[in-house]
This record gives sequence, structure tokens and C-alpha cells, in this order.
Amino acid sequence: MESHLDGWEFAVEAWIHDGEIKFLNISEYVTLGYSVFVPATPELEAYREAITREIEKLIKAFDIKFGLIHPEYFVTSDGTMYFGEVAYRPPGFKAFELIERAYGFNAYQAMALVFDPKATKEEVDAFFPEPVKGAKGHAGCFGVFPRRRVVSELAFPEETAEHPYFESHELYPLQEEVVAEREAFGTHWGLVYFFGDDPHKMRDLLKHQEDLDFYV
Amino acid sequence: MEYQRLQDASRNEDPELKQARERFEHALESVSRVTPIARAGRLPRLFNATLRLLKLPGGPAIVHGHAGRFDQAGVFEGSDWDHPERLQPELSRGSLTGSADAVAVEALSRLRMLAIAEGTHDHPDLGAAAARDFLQRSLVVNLDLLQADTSEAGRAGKGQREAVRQLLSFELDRLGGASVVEALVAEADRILEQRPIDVSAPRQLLDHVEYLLDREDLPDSEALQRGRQLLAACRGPTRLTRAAAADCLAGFEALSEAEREKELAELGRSVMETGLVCPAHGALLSLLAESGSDRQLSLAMGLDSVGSDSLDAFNELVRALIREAVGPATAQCILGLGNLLDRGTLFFPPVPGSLWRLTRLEPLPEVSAHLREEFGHVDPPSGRSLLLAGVISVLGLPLGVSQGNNPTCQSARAISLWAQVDPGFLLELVMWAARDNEIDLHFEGDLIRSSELTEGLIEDFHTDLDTVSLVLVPHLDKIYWEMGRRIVGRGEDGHRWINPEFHGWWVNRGFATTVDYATGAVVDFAGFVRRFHAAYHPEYNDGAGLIYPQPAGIVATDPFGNYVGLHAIAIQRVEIDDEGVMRVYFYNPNNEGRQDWGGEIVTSTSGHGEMPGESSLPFDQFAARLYVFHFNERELGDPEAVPEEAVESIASAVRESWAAERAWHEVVTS
Repeated sequence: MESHLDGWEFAVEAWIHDGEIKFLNISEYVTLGYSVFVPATPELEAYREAITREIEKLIKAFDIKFGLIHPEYFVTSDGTMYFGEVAYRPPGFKAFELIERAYGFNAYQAMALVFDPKATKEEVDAFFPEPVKGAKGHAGCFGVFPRRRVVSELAFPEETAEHPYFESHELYPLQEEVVAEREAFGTHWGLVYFFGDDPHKMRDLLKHQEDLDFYV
Repeated sequence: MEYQRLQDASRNEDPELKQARERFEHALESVSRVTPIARAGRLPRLFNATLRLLKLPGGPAIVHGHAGRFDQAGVFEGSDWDHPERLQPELSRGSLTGSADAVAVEALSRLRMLAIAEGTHDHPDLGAAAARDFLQRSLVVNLDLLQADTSEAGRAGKGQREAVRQLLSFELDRLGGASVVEALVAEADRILEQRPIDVSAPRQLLDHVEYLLDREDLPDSEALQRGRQLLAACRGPTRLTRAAAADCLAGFEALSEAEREKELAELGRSVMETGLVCPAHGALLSLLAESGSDRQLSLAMGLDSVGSDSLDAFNELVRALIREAVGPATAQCILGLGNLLDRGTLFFPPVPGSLWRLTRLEPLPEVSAHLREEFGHVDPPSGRSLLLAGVISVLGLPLGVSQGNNPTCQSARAISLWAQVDPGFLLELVMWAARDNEIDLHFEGDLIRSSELTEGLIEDFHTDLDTVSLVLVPHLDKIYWEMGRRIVGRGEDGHRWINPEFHGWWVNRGFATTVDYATGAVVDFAGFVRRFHAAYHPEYNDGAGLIYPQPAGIVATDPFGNYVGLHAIAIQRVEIDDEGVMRVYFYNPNNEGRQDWGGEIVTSTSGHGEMPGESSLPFDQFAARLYVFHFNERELGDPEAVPEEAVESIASAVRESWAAERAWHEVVTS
């Protein structure tokens, strides 16, 4: 269903301990299924208060005391927020790795910590940095889909490789010619990682990757 | 200390360098913090950050400053680079010209190697001297990567290439150019003393020496002087030969008789001492063939007394050969011509006539075109000149024939053996191939014609070969393959029948192997080794010397003794060296005679009585890699005379090496 609605999309990762939100991350989707980065642009972060209230509703509705939830939302052009879905598990698309790259803490370790009812409040509070301000930069990733129907080799674009934000990729060279079929979201051929200071530059850079061929 | 220096330097560093440094340090930190399971996912960022940093001026120094942390951080864990003591300098080229990740991990490994060499990092399995040796030898095979690349492949990955350039330049500065020149010269010398026909590899090494000499002022040393001598041999060892060809000839004409002799003697000596010939020497010899005296020709080729006699007896032929074959572009064949005359090859009755015939041959247009194209020269000589120059080289340097990068050791070995013992036959084959584009040989009574065959061992023919091989190998390969096809189903190693038919009657029909053809098991190794002693070891075969060199098969192994494959060589002779060690001297068509086969078996190419082009091993070490040989059944000693301990010691070396994973069947006697 998420692929059939128009809107500004984002995901939230909320670490909850003893019924309280200890850290709330907003992952901004540039294009659903293709690209995401954290922390989000100031424009989306402006909704942080409203988003927090939505998350608190979920906590109450599901009676969550400890753990991590990963809901997805849509904000339509008139500012109305629609709830998409929620998962009681880590997000996909290597969002945890992006969070670690941006904030420096290990998001899996954070999850183990908040799932532990015996962890003290002090311990948990000390673990998390301040959202947005505590980030050293913005980390994003782009999921590569071959754009051509028949591809025979990996041709990593020089302009991406040379971009100062580019950090690494996990694309594999092909052994033989392949007829590519783009089946559904989530079946990308590998991710390309970026890191930089400017969220708008990051957003545009991720968007621009959609126009490039990684496999030819 | 190193770290402190980096910290100080970082205060006013270039912002781009600063950012690249921070990213590298962050990535390294992130790799070092996690367990091995998670590490794989974090390495790509470190690798990319490494490449970024290497490209920037001052970058390699920063990476090097952290080199002591790589091992502990687990950067190499689970990869070959985790065992620096096993890394092979020759293989580093594949990494340095490979994918971005391969370049990065190789760079990290090399900078760690440099830290070990400089004593700032300790590694339990590799000492400073070995690390230094690795880097020097690796620089020797990769020095061209220091220079700007204009090829298409180079342009495509230019960022990566720049990182490698900066890296190698940094290594060179830290190790010191002098030590690398020393390694280059030693390498060039070790190849040249084997007197190969194709000297492109040592010439390339000498190009690097020249580059390094121009790059910085280096302290004078013996290696430097030898380097200059070898370079001079390529470029022109005398003032006259360093000039352009026309000036050289005019200058020579202007000399007095005594000065001319001095000049020519110097040229002849340079060729004999180095194995290299300069282009002007070719022009000069052509001139002498027209109007020079025999004495002048003899001096210019550095002939010995047999060579001078050959020249005297076949004066017209030699002059015709020079006129047709020798010029500035083909000057290198002067080395072959001098050796051919010194060896007395022209006194083999069929040879002079065959060579006369070749001086008149016009090769088929496609053969000429192929030779000229492969010659790699803007204005190549005619196909006839190239072919003749190649024939002269093979006859003069029969042990200098190489298989290049082709899996055609048998064909290369056959050309070498014919050049040694049956040159008339070799020249007949050359004639057929060049004139008729076909070779035919007989196998068990049936005619096999190369022109009727399509299949061979070669899938992708590498043309880094001497001219005779270029012309013959495609035919020989197909015929050899066809002979192999015809013995399928006999359930035995086909070399038994093929070798005598392929090479000639002088390959002994007596045949021994220790590898079971069907299963690969080692069968009756003791009997095999006893027989090898009885056939080849002078103390067990009543001193029967080897009259004709014999083809034999060895098991090639890597420096750890692991099985690599089967390889064709020829046993040339078995003799005691100056130190009293019984050695097998053999021809290896691989033409890189120096090989480490593991278990301390390292083939020698000089210093143990080898003739140029021969490899040698002590008898028992050779036996530990042998799996097939031919022998003269009429001159076989008593196999039982060989002491049990000698047999057992060789057998245990084999069990520890290439037979480690094979079944082992001894003959049980009750």
C-alpha cells in the first residue's frame, strides 16, 4: 500500500524505555524504495513535536514499555499526517548503520539496552545523544536498481565515486550478462553510502543518483 | 612519535586533506571497534577512504602513520593479506591494477609492510629485512605504475591509478631509490644471464633504472655502475653508437683502421658481457657485411676461435644472413648470430643449405603480416628479415626459447630441443610453416597435418614470443593435441608414445611414470626413483652420460609445496658441480628459471655450473618433483643399488608436497 499513496514520506525509529521515548530518529525518504538519509532536513524536523505526539499514541495503543518501534508516516501537502504501518523491529535499508554513521552510537546496542528492563534510567539517558544537534553530519544511502533491461557489467559512475560525500558501496561485479527485472521495492542490487554536512545537498545528491547507470 | 608529528601537521593542513584524513581515521576506528562478523560491512568505507587519502599530496604519509594499527584493527582478517610472510611480490601487480577494493587493501598492506621494514611496527611472522625485500621486489615489477598512464584502460580508472602512483612514489622515497635500482639491476642481470631470446622484460627493467637515475641523484655504487653498463648496452655502449644510425656510420667511416678495431671490439665485448645489443650495432654490422673484413666482423660479434672458423668457412653465408636479417630494428639477433657461429652450428651438414634457402624465402603474405604486426615497431623490417633474425636467434640461443604466457611448454621445449640436436629438422619445419602454412608429422604410421586440425591447447594465443615460436607454435600445438586425442582410452600417460614421435627417434622409448593415469595416485614411487637413479645418476648408471637431452615431466608446485600443475621440461645433463653436488641441469620452457617450488627446492640458474638458459637442482631435489621421464633401456644401471635411505628421503619430500592429498601405493613384496 505504501507505494500507492502521494506524499512526503518518512520513517521513525523510536527507542522506548519504561514507556518513555528515549531517542527519536526521523529518517527522510528522498524516493521511497530508493533512498533515505538521517537526520532529516530542517523542513521535516519541524514536525518533530507533532511526530512525537503520534508516536506516544502508538506507545499507548500497543502498551509498549520497552523496545524499539519503526513506524512509517506520510505528510500530505496540507500538513495532515497519516500513519502508514508500524513494526516492532529494526528498520531495513541499513537505517541503523546510517544512524550510527551520523550520531556515532551503535543502534543495535541501543536496542538491546532499551529492551532490558533492568537497565537504569541514568544508563539509558547517558547513552543517547541529543537528536539532530548531536549528529556529526548527515548519512544517506541509495539503493541501486539497474535502469537498463539487459546489463553485463558494473560501471560505477565516476561522478559518484569522486563526489566528496561518497563513502562506500556494496555493489558486486556481474559474472555474466543479466536480464534485469525490477520486481518490487526492497530488491535493490546493493546500496551506495554517502556522508556530508548539508541535508539539502544530501537530498539532491540522492535524488540525482536515480538518473545514473550503475550497471550497463 | 609518528602520531604526534601527524597531529602537529594537521593544524594547518589543506581542508580537503583534513576531511579525507578524518574520514579515514573514523573508518579505521569503526572497523577496529567491531567483531569480525560485522567487520566485513565496514571495510568498504575504510577502503574508499584509503583511496581518497592516497590520491592527495601528503595522503600516503598519513595512512602510513596509522600502519601499526591495521593488524590489530583486523583490517586484513580472513584474507591473504593477513599473512604478509606469504605474499608474493609478483602477484601484487594484480592487486594494484585490480578493483578499487583490491588497490586499497594492497595499499594498506604495503604501508604496513613499510612500517615493518622501518622497524616502527612488529609482526610476529615477518621481519624487517623480509618486508623490505618484498617491497623492493614488488616495486621492481610495478615501477611502470609510477609513470603517467595514457592507455585506454589507464584512463578509465584514473583516480585509482593516481592513488597507486602516489603510493609507490611514497614507498620509493622511504626505501630510497638506490636500493630499488639495486634490485632492478640485479633482476635484469638474473634474467639476462639466462640469455633469453626475448629481452623485452629486462629492457623494461632498465627503462625503470633510467627513470630512477633521472629522478634523483643517487650515490654511486657497484649496482649503479652495472645499471649504467646495461643501459649503455641497450642505448649504445660507445660514443659512436649513441649517435643516430646515419651519424654512427659516417663517424665509423671517418675512423682510422686501429680506431675501428677498437670500436668494434668494444661493441662485441658489450654484447657478450650483457646479452644486449643496441640498434646502431645492427646498422654497423650491415655495413661490415658489405665492405668489412672478416676480422672486423669477428670483432663486432665478439666471436671466439670456433666462431671465427665458422665465419671463415661460411663467409658468404654469414654475410648474406647479416644482409638479410640484421638491421637497427633486429640488432638483438647479433647475440644469436655470434653464439650460432661459436657453437659451430653451421658445421651440421643440413644447416648451411637450409639457411641459404631461408635467405631466399618470401614467406606467405599472411605470415609476413603477422610477424610484422607482432614485432611492435613503427616501421618493421620485411617478414623474411624478421623470420631469419628469429631463426638465427633460436639456433644461437636454443635454451633461450620461451613459451611466454601460453600453456604450450611442449611446443617451446620441442623448438629448443630441435635447435640443439636437430637444427636441420627445425629449419625444415620453419620452411613449411612460413611457405605452406602447414606442418605435418607422423604418429604411429599416420600422417597428421596441422592444416586439417582446428583444436589445440591454446585458447587465446599470447604473442609475446620469439619469431620462430610465433610461426611454429600454432601448428605444433594442434599436432600435439591431435596426438593426445589419439591415445585417449589407452589408460596410460600418453607421453610414452607421443614424445618420441613428436620430437624424434632420439627421445628414448624407455618410459617411467609414478602417477596413475586414471586416479592420480602415486604408484610404486620407490621403484620409480630407483629407476631414475639407474638411468640418469652417473654413480648408478655406470657413468653413461646423456647424449641427447630428454623430455621429462615435472610436477610444478608453489613456494609452499602445493600442487600447481604438470609441466614439460628437458633434462640436459647430470653432472657434479664445483661443490661436489650431483645436479640435474635442465631446460625450463617457462624461461623464468628461478623458481621456488617449496620445501627448500629453489631452482638455480647460475653459480652452480649452469650454462646460460639452464636451470639446475641437486639430483634428489629434482627427483622430488619429477613424475615422468624417458630412459635408454640399453644403458640402465641396477635400480637395487640405490640405498634405501636415499629413496625414502625423496619419497618423504614428495609425500609432504605434491602427493600430500593423493593416494600412495607401494609395491608389496613378500
